[in-house]
Amino acid sequence: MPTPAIEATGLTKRYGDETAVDGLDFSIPQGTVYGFLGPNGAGKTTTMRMLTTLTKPTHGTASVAGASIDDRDALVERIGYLPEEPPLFDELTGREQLEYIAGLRDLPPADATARIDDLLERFGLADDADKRISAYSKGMKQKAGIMQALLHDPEVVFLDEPTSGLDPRAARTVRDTIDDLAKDETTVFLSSHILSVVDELADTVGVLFKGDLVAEGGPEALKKRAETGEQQSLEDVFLEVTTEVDGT
Amino acid sequence: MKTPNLGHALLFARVETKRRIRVLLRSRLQAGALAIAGIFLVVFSAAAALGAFNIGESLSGPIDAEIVQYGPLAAAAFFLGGTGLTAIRIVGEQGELDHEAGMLTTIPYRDGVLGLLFAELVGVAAYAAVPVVCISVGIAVGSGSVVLGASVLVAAGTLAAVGTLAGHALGYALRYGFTANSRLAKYKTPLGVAIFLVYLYVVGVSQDASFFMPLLDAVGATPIGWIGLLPFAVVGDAAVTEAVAGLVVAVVALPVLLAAAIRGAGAAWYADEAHTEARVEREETSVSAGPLERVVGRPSAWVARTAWTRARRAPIKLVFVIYPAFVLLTPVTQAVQTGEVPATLPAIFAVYGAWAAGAGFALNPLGDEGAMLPVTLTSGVPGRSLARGLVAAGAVAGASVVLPLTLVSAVLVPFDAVQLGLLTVSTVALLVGACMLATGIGTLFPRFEGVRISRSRRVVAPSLVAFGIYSLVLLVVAAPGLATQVPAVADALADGIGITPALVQALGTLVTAVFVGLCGYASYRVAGSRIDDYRL
Repeated sequence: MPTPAIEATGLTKRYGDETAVDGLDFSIPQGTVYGFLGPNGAGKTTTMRMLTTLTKPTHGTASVAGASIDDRDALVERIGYLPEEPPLFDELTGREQLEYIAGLRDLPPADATARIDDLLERFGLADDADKRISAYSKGMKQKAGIMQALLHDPEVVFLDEPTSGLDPRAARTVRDTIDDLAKDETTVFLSSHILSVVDELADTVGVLFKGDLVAEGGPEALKKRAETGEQQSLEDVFLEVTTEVDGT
Repeated sequence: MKTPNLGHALLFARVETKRRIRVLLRSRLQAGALAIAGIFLVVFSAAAALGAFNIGESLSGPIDAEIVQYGPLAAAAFFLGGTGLTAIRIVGEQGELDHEAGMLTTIPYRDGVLGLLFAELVGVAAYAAVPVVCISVGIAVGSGSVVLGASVLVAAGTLAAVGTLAGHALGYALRYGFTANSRLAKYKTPLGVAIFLVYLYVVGVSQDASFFMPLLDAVGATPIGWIGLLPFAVVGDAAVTEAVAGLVVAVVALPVLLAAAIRGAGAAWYADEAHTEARVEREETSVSAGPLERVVGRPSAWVARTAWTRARRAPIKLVFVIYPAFVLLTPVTQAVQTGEVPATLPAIFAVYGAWAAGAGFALNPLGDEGAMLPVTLTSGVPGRSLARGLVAAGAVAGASVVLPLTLVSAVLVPFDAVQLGLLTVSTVALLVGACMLATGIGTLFPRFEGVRISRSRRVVAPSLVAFGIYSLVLLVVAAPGLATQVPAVADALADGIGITPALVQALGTLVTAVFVGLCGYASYRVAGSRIDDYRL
């Protein structure tokens, strides 16, 4: 059985008396897209921060691309991470930003240049590559952030709201890119509020609510009502599972 | 502990330096200010070289043992100054990575620590390299000994490197404390202000060097202090062994301090922020704007009330008005040292207080609205009401602090009843006038970008241009009132015009009150129309 791309066991994070994430267990196979849903404050960002080694869990453990979250050096080489606000420097041009990250990631110069040109072309930023990022629109910054996360061809990509602020064409580009990534055996951990994006792309959907994973499964399976077999939308499922638990 | 990747750190420092230069050159005004600072640096360096030349000449003969003792003390002061300044910068904005999450998932954090250190050393070199080289050359030429000049350069460079690294190690340790310890995190701002005020008192008011002497003596007696003996050792007036031992210890300390800095930064950057319960505000709320409503109208009263609430809950927004408190140093020092309150002190309190009230509450009416600006502009509130509310906020808040200070100091001078009455009227006029003055200038030169003060908080301070113009105009209109408080000026004018000095002082104060009122009103009108016509 192949090693899962992401595996979490009892992953827990507490801040004082408050539990942000409570004993998460999941296993995500390589080359799949995992749609991570949850209302605001459910613990999604905390989970992503633990999986990317930015926050230390209170209990439990996890591994990403075969590297334990305790082994930061091994792990960061294998992942790409796009936080909710794209990590870009306004004072640099788009190309300078990507060249900088390529340098920090030790990519061979020739490969890096080809990869940067390819990504710029693919995301329609080639004409604006030499403009300062401060002059970019929100969508352009988002695209530059995604390119940066994919630059070193990581094994696992964490994307936090990647289609946020994008126009329909750019959003389509991102969706196609995520689809291509999965076909190339890259694992995508996709956190998004845009349910249609998750519905379209995710192989598995996990719904987090108040720190608990309250539902998990393929989109189609989740959408099929257990009692009646009747089809419902992912939005209905989301509202149902995040309300039922609230009432208990 | 794994060693940082030098290549990554150098690339990080190169890009960081490039970004800093681009930020500095972003506006012509900043570039101009930088050019002026550069000229000052060159002038200062030339003067320092001249002084160093004279010292060099005196070093060519036998040196008094008493002078040699100053070497370790100077080294200690240089090291402690570098450590302290760097630590403060690290506790502040310099000690955090921009786009931390992105950066920490791209490179190991230790590469970032070394990169920030290199960038900081480039910054230190930008300011210190020219004067230090000039001093070394001056000493070399003055003494006729190249080795002596080079020894000064080596000693200064070593101390700068060790001091900067020690500052990083200390700064990150403090940063960790302020991040992870809930009590320290909660009282970070008042603690900083208290330390600043103590520093101000020790350095400026009491001017008591003995406060620092035990520390300088202690550090001077360590190998760090011995580095200060190097130039004297070169000319044979101090033990070479001590000087060399100092250098060796410093070189050995560098990797140890780097390891401490890396450990501290790792702890600080990955620490969970101290968990403080989201505070439930238990204040009584209502839709009434309070008693001010009857004076300035309901919308303005709400503007004032909101401005006070914001200032009270985020006092860091007002910290920048403390910096110019240096103007109070001389008169307060005089009062402490002689036991007599100078006659100018009440007027200085009044002018500084009025300046601070206007700068703190009314110098950035548009930028201070932040994300609320579109809502404010489309809320139907007239621009003049917004400006009036800010004037009320500044004047009332200012009066609660400035009036007691001014009047108590005036009683201690002592002022007579008429003078006290005039002072009260003019202080109130200054407070209202200064806040009105600030509104117009602030709307003409707004600033919208925030300055980051912690991982998640930004503060929008007024623009430098607005600061400059506002301060200059206020100083000019306050000049008659301030100048006539100086007894010599009042006497001279009284003799010239043929009236009593007390009347001269009264007239001076009134002239200032009228000036500030007229300028303030004009500025307030400008603010009203600018806000009404403002387009995003």
